[in-house]
Amino acid sequence: MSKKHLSSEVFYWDAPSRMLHKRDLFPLQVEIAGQTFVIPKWNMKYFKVENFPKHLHSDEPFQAKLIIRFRNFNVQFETEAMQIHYNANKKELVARFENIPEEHRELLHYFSEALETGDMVNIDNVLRRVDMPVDPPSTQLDEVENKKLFHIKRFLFSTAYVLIGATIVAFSLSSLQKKLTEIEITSAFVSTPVVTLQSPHQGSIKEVLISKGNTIRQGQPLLSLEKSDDSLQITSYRKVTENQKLEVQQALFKAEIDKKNNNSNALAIQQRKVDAANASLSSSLIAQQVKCNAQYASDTDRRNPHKRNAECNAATDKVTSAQIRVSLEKDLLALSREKRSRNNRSLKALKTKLNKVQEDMQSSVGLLNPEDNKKTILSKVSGKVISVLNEYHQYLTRGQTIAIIQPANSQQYIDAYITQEQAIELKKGDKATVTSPTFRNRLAVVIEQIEYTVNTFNPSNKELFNWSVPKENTVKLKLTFIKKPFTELPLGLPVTLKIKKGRGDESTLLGKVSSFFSKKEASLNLSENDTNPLFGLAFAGDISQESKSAPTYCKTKFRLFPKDFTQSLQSTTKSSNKVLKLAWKKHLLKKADKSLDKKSKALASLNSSGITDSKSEALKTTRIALRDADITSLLSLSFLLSNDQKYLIKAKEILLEWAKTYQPNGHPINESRLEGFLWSYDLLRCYLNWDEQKTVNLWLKALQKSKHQWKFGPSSSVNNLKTHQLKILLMLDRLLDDKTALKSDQETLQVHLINNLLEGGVSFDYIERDALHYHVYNLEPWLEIGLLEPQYKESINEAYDFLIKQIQNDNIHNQFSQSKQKFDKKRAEGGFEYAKTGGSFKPERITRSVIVHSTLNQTNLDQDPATQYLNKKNIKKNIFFLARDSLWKP
Amino acid sequence: METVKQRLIDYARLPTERRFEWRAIDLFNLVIYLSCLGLLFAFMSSKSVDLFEHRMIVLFAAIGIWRYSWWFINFVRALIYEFVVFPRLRKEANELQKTAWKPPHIYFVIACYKENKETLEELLRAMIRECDNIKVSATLFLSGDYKSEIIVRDFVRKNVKKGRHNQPPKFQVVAIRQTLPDKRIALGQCLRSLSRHGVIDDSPVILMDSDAIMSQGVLKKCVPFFHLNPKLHALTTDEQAIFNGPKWMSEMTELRFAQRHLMMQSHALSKRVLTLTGRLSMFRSQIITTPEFINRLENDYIDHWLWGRFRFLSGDDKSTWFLLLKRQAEMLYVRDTMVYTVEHIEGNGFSRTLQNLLRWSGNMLRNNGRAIDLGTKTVPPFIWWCLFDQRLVIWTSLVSPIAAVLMTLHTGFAFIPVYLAWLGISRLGLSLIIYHYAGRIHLSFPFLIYILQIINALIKVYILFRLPRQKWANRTGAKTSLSSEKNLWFEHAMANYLTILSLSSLVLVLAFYTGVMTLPF
Repeated sequence: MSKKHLSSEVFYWDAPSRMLHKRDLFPLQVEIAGQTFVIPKWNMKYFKVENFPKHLHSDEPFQAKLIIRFRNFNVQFETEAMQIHYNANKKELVARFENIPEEHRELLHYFSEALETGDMVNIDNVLRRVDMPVDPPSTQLDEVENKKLFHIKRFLFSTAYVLIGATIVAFSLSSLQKKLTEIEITSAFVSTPVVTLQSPHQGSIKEVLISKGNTIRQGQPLLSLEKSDDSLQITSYRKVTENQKLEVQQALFKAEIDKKNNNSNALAIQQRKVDAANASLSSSLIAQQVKCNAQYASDTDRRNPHKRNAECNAATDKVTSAQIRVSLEKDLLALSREKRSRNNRSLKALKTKLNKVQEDMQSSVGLLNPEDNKKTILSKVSGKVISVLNEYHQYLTRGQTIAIIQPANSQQYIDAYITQEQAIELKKGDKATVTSPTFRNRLAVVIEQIEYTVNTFNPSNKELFNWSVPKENTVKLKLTFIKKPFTELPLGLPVTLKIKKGRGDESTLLGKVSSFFSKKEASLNLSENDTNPLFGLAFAGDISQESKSAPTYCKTKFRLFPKDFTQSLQSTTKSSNKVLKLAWKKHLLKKADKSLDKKSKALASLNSSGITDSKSEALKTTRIALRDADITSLLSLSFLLSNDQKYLIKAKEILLEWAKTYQPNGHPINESRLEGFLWSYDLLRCYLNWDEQKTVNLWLKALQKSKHQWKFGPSSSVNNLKTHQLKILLMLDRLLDDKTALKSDQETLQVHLINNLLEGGVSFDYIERDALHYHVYNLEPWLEIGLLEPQYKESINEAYDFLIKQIQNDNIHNQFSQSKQKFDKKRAEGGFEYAKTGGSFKPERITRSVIVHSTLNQTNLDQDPATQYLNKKNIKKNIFFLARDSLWKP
Repeated sequence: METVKQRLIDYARLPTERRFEWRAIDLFNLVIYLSCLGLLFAFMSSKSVDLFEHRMIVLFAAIGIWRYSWWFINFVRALIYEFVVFPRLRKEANELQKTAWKPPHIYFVIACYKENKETLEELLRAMIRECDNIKVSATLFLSGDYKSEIIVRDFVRKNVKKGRHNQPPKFQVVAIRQTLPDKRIALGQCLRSLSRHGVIDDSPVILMDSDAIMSQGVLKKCVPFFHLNPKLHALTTDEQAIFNGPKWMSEMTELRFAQRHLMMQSHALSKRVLTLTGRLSMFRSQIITTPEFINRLENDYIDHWLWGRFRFLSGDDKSTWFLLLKRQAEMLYVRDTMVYTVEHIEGNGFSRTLQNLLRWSGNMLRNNGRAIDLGTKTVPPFIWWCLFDQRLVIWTSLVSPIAAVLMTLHTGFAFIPVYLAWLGISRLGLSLIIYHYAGRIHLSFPFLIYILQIINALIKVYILFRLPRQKWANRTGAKTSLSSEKNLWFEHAMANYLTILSLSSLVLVLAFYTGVMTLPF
């Protein structure tokens, strides 16, 4: 090994004056001529002796005995050396080894190298081997002692971790499968029909005669009640008060009767007054006779005729006055008689009332019977006691629940509360298993009832069992046991329900996964032949055969379409149908396809009514925006016909956008075209999730409210504005299941029909505007109303016939000439072609009316003579109505 | 380089202790931060507010209470150490200093590799200054490359006076030439040399990095403790970095050092610390110069069930710490002394940060397991729990981000404001404690705490199953200890499997808890 590679090359650097490299630090000793000296510095060739007293011959070797103090003994050998230099001042001798025997050289080399490597060190001038091995540095570690043990350990650990991993994977897959294939419901409880017995009285419980779990029969005493002193005091006080009240009433009635009796005396007085007046009249007449008749005149009178005449006149005046008085008194008498007659009637009534009060007073006294202090409450039903009050001396108020009875022969069932989303996956008759930690076996149950509540939720028996149900679980399931449990389950026991979502292949995880992928594929490219609508995008995961159409509870719930509309939809998909030589389905889908790329133009407000400038930006924007309503209805129908989800997605997107954006203000005309959204919602309701339904419902509710608040003017309350308003309202009432509003709106409709559709089918609008345009504009909502309210079909048909007759008679010219509305003139000036005074009505304008009339009357559109006025362009524009017509008819 | 020089000149005047400094801008920043939090709450949707009642928040709160009460406990312990325990020790040390006592000799051991000349000279200057301060002779055992030797030689020639009357000078240097590019071997060689040299009992042996510069009075403040407490075998000091690099890295380093200062004080209350930092730690000469100690330091290893026996490359400080911990040696944290390190980062520093985190996490995990195995009889219970907690915190740190992702998937974006509010409050609470030690209010701390928490946890999960994977970026020629000659496909596959298994288990547990997944039974 060369010096370069020595492991630990130590050198001092403690001062600049010193040698850079200075190895072999150990001081050797040397014995020269019997004297021992120290060699502080040495190497394999030279050595330096300190304190050497004399100079030696430079060319003469001398004998030296080297002593190495190694551990606790000396290693020594003799050798020859030759002086090289002697410093007399420092007494230093520098010499060179000469002829060291080979074995001694090796020895010296051994120590030298040991010092170099650090294997040995100088400690107190004794050379010692250091305790640590000073091997060349190495980064190699010792081998593991027991490799076998290490391998076993590694195997065990690896196996354990692999097993843990496998368990976790299995656990996760199982959980995933469960999520995909099973619905777990934790808000489920054992329930039963119960009868709540309430206390008919109040007081302290004296004795409870039944206990929980007892079977009782009807009429059996439940508990006895002792009325407390307080209760008696209260009762007594109440009765005293009642009696006082009755006494006051009695006194009042008596006073009234006395007053009435006094009134009958007034009649006699009046009679006497009449008699007195008569007597006064008689005396006045006599006096007049005396004063005015000549035969009774005295001489004096004769001498003074003026005086006598004056006296006569005065007597005559008195007679007249007496006559007036008699007449007055007689009138008063007649009045008094009438009053008396009335008085007698009221007196009779008063006496009846007085008798009643007296009777009440008597009965009131009877209630104060001290026997009433004790009461026994009897059971009204037979059955098992589920819960009973058992606190003696507890004060019971009237109406307080005292016991809950499970009627005899009633069956236990499970009440479960689930979300709307979960409910979509289920149907009546689905089987489930019930588990609970309190019983070992799984119990089989079947869904008997699914209750869809809309907004509010109130679990039955909630108070009794203190159930806690998440607020979003608004659907209630009732599940009955397929096989009655061996033992009766504790009522109110929380249980876990597990219901398989799908059936057949799709109930397995593999089936689910493949179905999931196939569904994804289907959503991307469904052909026209696909007849299986994928239900509920929002609830992706279940597409079993039976649930490929909308859930059963949704099928029959079209509000704006006939009951068999779904069947029509399904059968139509299997046949091609042509009406008016137009493959309507093809055109419908084509139009729907074109709409797919269009974005919703939803507005917060609409503004078209009353605008007189045909180029108005507001009008233009509103009209463009309202196309969304038409598009949505088209898309909805297209989805149901083609089962292609792209239509559903788009329709939902537009509908929800409008529901979130548009702020209803109730305007009859501006909002009339929103009908498209109403049809769409009716068709797609089952395909909207709970939140989406809620959004739309709230919007419709706001629309309905604003329409009900709309104030009509004298003209608009009878013209087309009201018709349009009623059309939308009747649709909304049905969509929102608002029976009260529907009834009210139907009543309004009845009145409006009389005001708006006049004899001979002439509409108020036709008379007012002198234009068929407005007759048609009024007829269109009437026809829609007719579809909802067929009882008015006759009047609507009459209006339709009037229209056709006018066209047939070519009575379509000189329109608007007698219009009473200045607005029409303004519109004509503003560039509205239809409103031009003296213009002609375009018969193709009646396209929608013709189609909807056919729908209303279930007639064959192809054979309708009015179709001669239609053209293909306009029919295509009304493709939704044409499609609806085809589907509407059975 | 000019900047570095300028900074080097100022070293002697750098503060020797942490001092808190109020700055108006910091307070303003804090107000802005609080206002943002207030706005977040004010504009939180009702759906988000409802989510505060979700049971995930209960889990967050539970973990939060646990984690933050743990921080709080450490904070309280740190305060006790700062205001009760350490002042007493300092008083005793000061009194000892007043007597004629001084250590017989001081030994410095430095393993240096291609160190910057200015830094190395500053280190030597500080070293000589500190020795002069206490008037004790010292020997430096330097293991370095040839250039470093020249730098040291030239500096010593210029600055160390020659010994009088043939006496050795007060400051000597023994250079040990490095023959293998391995810091552990270098240190081992130095310690062997020191041992052969005849080390005096109870003398302080100072192991330090070549970029660590002692502030004024480090030796004076530290060495008396060895005399005062015979059971004390090691001590370490506070640290700060002179940073020449990206600001975010500088703030991150400040955060780490502030956290370290807090934790070290808390641990020191139990007469142990969790690391005897390689930058500068002092040891009593007896244990550190024993052959067993040196051997183990040179070739430290653990036996792993998967990877077998493998050697540690870096983390020599962790080895010295473990070897002392095993011998139940007492350790001390001298909180009022400061050692500065010079960090010169070029570029954006991300890679360097990542490498550092990898190295620190790896060193921690490699030593943590065997330290826990020592049990509470050898390790004080609090320290043992700290070690155990270091393992737990890997997983608890990941709970909140994973749960946040799951909750967002489950409940929608409404959870994001809730999570942000939670992070904003909780991390600020933690930062407020750390500000006390960081010296000022850094607004970046709440964010850095969260980012470091996640990155650290992910790195630790990665390293946990790949313990032999070791690198060090601040030394060129980074290498791993895993020999490429070996066919280690099984080990690597198993490590990958275990990483996925552990992370997916955590995700699954949280998914079941949040309701994203339902239990299959």
